[in-house]
Amino acid sequence: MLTRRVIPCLDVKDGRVVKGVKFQGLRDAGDPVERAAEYERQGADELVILDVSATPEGRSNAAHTVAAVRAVLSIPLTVGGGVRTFEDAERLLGAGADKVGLNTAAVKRPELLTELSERVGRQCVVLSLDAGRHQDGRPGWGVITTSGTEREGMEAPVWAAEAERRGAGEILLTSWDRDGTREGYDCDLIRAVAGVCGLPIIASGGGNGAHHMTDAFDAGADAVLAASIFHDGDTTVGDIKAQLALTGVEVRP
Amino acid sequence: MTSCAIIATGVANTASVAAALRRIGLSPTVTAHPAEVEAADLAVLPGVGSFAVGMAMLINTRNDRVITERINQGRPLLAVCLGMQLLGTASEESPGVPGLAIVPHAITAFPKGTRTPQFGWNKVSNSSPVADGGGGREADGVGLSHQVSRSEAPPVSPMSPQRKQGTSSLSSDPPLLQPGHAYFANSYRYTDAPQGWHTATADHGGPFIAAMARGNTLACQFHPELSGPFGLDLIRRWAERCGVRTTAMNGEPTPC
Repeated sequence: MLTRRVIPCLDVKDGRVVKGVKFQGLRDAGDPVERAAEYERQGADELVILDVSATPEGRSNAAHTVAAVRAVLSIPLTVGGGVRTFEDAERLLGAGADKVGLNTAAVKRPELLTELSERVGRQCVVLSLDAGRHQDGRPGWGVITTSGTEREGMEAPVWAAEAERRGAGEILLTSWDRDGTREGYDCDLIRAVAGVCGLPIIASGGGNGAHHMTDAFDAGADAVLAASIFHDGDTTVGDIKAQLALTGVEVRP
Repeated sequence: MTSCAIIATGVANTASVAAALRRIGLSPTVTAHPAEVEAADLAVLPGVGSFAVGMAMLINTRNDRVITERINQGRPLLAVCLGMQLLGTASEESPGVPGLAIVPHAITAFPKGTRTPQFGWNKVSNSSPVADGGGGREADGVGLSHQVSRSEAPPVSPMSPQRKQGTSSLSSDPPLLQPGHAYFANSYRYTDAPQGWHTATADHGGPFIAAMARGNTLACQFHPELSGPFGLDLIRRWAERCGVRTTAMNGEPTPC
């Protein structure tokens, strides 16, 4: 049977890994190629690279970073952040990404999911879905685009189901409420999306340990994304997978 | 210098395959020219996308004949994912479109209710012995013939006639196909093990063929270039079996 996947995430800006430090903005956290190779060595099942460059130059550098990481990486590589057009996606896939993540661009123009999946196959197309509980207290989660604004009337699970119909192959589901809190993934959100969408779900936002990941898997996530717990070196992917295996979660050794 | 041709399929995944081949010391080129594919020491048929589109590309570029000849002559070929499926007779994905028919079986969808596509890491079993109707069965595998049906084609010798002189006999080599975990991204698959081929299976809604090997032809339903050390070692073993020296990641030659 398919194993559950543990996926580290690297935020990359202008060719360097960066780490958000509270009140201090972004700090350099190393070379993406070294970090990627290290994560693979630790047993990561896949790697996500998120381009957080703010400039067009930074965006075009992303393809160079992807190619450099691809040269050393033998596991699937997903690249997201600032993918605006079909050409952006093709460039990243050509550079060596196995999957591209689309967020705002897909919300603005859902046809992009179809165009891409018809050209390169849905297994290359990941919907990055940022979701946050409604501010006015209504039950449910709104879709948040990367500009931080909530799209009017768009419920996260409904958008996930629409993305599946339009050709997405996987959902990277990030809880804005939990992101950075280390309080665990939003399992209600995972359940809500899994209930209406048949695509594999990568849970993101709030995960801080193997117990959080187990909860996410139980809620229906196929994979978990984690950044901060690995970056600091306090724990390795291997440690986490060993703990998961002990609690009966099927993981790739 | 060993030449290695990755057959251009017009879709995205040649970058990963090329990177993996470079990691073991090869210098692949991506090409759709049948003369280059024919001349290359090693050829790789990757594939993402539909059966119909894949076959149309092979036919339009005349690579259908080149691939068939390479396999019949026992010249090295690695087929990945859709590439493996194109070796078959037909696929449920594209009714009415004939495949290369090198493998005398059709490709079908996973059973209704099974998560499709199969997307992620799955356990690949030990290689099953080649059904050759008589002696010479290798002791390396777990026979899965009761679960997976076998074709009625006449037995083909499992020995590769192209093995270079000086290499050790087949029975003392570690099997090409070994158990481990591999990365899959597929909606269709073979369930029949072709006679004369070593096969490895995995389970997703029931057993299916994860990989098959015969002589210098290796076909993987999973992506060996994305399956970590398990996949890279498999690619390396295939290349070495074809008589090509490879290097470890640090550039040192791997031991024979």
